[in-house]
Amino acid sequence: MNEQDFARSVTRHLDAGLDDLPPSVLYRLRAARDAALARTLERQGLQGGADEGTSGRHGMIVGRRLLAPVAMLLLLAVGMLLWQQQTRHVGPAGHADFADVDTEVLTDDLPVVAYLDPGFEIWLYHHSPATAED
Amino acid sequence: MCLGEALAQRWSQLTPEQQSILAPLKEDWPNIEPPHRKKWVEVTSRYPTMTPEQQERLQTRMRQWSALSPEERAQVRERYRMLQEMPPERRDEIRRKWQEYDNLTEEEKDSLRQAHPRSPPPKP
Repeated sequence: MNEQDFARSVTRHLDAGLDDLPPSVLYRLRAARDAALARTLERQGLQGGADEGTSGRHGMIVGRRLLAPVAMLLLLAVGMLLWQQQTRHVGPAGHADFADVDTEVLTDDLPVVAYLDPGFEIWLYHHSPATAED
Repeated sequence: MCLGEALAQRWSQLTPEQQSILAPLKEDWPNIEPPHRKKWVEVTSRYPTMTPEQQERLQTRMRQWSALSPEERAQVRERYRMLQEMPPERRDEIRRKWQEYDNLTEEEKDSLRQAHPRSPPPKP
């Protein structure tokens, strides 16, 4: 007889004896079962309460998950703002921005007043082979 | 106040040396936009490498620039861009013509200014 055959034989004897159990034994078995069920239910109740306690942490985790994309969007918006700040002065012909032009104008050979002096414009028109552009 | 302005250097944050170099722009500094301020600060770093003549010229130009209205500055920028788009020989000619014009007497210059169809009243 191998191990499995022995286990089947024991189970058969136990099952055959169930109907012949005395009432006192049946009562003790039922009481033990009820007590075990009560403990199980109590443990589940505590677990439920604990679950309610963890819902706050769960909310925080969900909050963090939501916060991450919001923070990314915020960073993106700040990046766009800085980029616009840097590029909004770019001229239509793709020249250096106004800030570059300002410093170039002030360090160029031609003085600032030359660009605004109407007398110089006339001088260019009437004393130059090429026509000054307006 | 936008973020760019918040990042911009205030006049009080400039070093005494930078303030000295950019003194002609002091009154105008709060109105200068942040990218422009940054460029001017960069100019101060190049300033010590300039010859005394270049330094004097820059000081004069800054004084002239700070006296201009926003419309006049826009006109200068536009004409400067047009000048940069011209062939080098044309740019050289315009510079040479300026030297000739600059050597005219004030009366001759005024006469030419009066001849301009859109001539504003001459500045003092």
